Amino acid sequence: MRVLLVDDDSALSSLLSQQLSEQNYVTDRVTDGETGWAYASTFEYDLVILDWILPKLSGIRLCQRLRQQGYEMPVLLLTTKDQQPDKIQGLEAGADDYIVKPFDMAELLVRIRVLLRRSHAETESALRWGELCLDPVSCQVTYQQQPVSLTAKEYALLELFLYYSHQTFSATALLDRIWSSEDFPSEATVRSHIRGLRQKLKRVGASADFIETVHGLGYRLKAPIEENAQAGRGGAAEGDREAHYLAGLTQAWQAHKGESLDRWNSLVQLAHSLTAQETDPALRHHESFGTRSLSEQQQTQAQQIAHSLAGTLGTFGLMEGYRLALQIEALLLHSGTSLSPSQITQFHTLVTTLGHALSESPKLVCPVDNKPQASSILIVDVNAMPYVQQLMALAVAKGLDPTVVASIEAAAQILSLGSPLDSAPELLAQPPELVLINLVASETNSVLDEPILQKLLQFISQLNRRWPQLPVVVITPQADFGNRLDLVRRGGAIILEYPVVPADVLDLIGQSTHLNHHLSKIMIVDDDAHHLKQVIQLLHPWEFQITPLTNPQRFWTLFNQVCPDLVILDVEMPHINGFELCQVIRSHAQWQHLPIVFMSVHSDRAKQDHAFALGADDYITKPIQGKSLACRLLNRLKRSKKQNLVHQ
Amino acid sequence: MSTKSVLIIDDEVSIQKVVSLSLQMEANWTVMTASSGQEGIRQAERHRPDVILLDVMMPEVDGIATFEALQNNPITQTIPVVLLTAKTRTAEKQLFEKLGVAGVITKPFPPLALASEIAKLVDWTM
Repeated sequence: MRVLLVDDDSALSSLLSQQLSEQNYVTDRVTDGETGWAYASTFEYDLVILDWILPKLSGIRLCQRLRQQGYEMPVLLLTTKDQQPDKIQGLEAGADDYIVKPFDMAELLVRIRVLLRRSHAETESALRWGELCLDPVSCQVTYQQQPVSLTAKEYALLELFLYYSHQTFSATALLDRIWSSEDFPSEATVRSHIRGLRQKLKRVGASADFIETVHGLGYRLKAPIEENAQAGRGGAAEGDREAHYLAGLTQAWQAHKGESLDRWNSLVQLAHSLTAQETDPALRHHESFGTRSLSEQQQTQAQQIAHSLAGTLGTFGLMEGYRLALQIEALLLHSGTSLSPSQITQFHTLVTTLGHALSESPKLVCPVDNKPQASSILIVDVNAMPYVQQLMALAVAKGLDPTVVASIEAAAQILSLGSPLDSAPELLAQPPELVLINLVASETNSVLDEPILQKLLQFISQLNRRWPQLPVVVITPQADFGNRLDLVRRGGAIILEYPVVPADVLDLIGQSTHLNHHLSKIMIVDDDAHHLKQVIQLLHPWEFQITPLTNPQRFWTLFNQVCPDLVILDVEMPHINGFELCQVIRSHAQWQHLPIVFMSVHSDRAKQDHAFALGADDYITKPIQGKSLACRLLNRLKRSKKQNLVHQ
Repeated sequence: MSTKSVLIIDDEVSIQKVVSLSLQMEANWTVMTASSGQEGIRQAERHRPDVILLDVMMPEVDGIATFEALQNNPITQTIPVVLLTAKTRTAEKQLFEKLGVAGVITKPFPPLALASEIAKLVDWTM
């Protein structure tokens, strides 16, 4: 802890500085108010001790200036002025405590500790971090109750890390906080002291990186590994940081939520104006009947509003609202200034749902570098059927991201069907995960005119040649064997016979694709808590319900409580290894078809063969990659679900 | 001797607050804010921050124009600029990078890894 002492009584100042040094405080001493201000506004102090009567600028004026300029460190006034009005004036100027000279040194030191503790909102006098304990009163440090002998600088470093347990300190920040302005150390000095501290902690059993290096940022306390990984977020440091951040985030959202509501309101008004627009009855039989127009300015503004809303909501962790705002932006981008009836319905639905999403509370955003977006579906519906509009609204309600296009040309453009075959898929703006093609003309006369039907069939073939991996779902009134075979040959993956209710369409799509596995229960057994935590974090974007377990002896109880959809097992674990756990699972008739995936550092063939012989479904060698792991798990879950349906 | 200083240029005060909170929580950086491109350029000239975090979509002078003005100004041209933007398409991101920005960070970002992401983009090491 670094203290600034501003007092022109050099004898007292020297004595006090010595006492503070014995308590491991780093003290800067200055003798006038202006120099005090220069120091306080240049360096960071945890506490300022001020005499009242000082040359150049009085202590009381200095205190006022500090508070006016937003400095919040505790200030202690140390003065001979002992009258009640003086005390009131001192405290009103922003001092946190007031001590009259002559004073008792022991009392002063206690009051300093109280001020420091209060400023860090500590409730206990001892600072703890996992098994480590630092007592600022006795200046004793222990790890697992063994004493740790530290130099004054090492002690000061550790105390700083413990007081600000949620912060990372750069080497320069540590120099500012731990070394006096009279010292001239380099960053190498900081590294050397950190190394010394780590070695001493290691000697008593702490991990070598108890104080971890954060690349490019500095040093901080490493979160103690918890036995119960608590869905991958174990560790007091992480929890502390997250809680602090979330509190600030919530406060900022409360203060600024109105701005997002205003933006949403302008989208609501636009949705209303689109619905209210009159259409020329003379156009009733024209293909543009029912289409509504926006001015270019309206379209650009609405798109910008949706874009900004996405940015704001995403930043505040309102992820549902973020996705909906992005969908609105994409819809306006695709539609241009003319919106078809289905696009208007879609716009309406998205804006209404967005309104609900705005009432969510802010959340901590998780890593999104490989996060899958809401599953996107491109629906090709050349006849603008109300049926498809219902389907689209239901898809939105289920959290999917549907885009409806009313022409083959629009669909071809979105799917880059005109671009060269060798162009990279990532150049596709937002490739859908699935294409749904409606071959139904209308509710009353379901069969399409032959020329349109042929065009759509050619489109399916073209689509399959361009994007062979993209699942194509076809809804058709003609699903006899011959037609079904023709559609499958062209590239249709799922053929649904019309009539089929929209809810069933989405269910069937979900069962056959990756779209609905995000709530699957996965149990992971690995005795390495650190690795377990990493895997959970890697899989976090896929929103599986994960049950982690580090102690295989508790496996069977937890397994029966959770009844997972898939189990991931480490091979080597103490007491019971992964192979044995696999055998136990397979020995029960009920769990014959449960997907079991092994994850191990061992890549040798014999171990893999043994795993498969015992009934494993997959064997993944570490290190693992998030996306690849998720795909393999999703494949297993998909097949397992299909198998279950067959058994039912 | 001081910690890193960051200038956030974003017309939304709420975003300024959240980004400041993230950077202070994670790295204890000194944060300055500006609500428009013009104000940002003035602040950058005066304080010469270690890095500028710039929103792309802003009224009047947008992020790209602000970046170009910073690049054409001898006082600010060496300050690395990281663009902060809502979801972009690959082509857009490539275009931004071609402009010469140090990097692009897409909203939403993991808040407690924002400072390390910036440090990585501007190649700050210990």
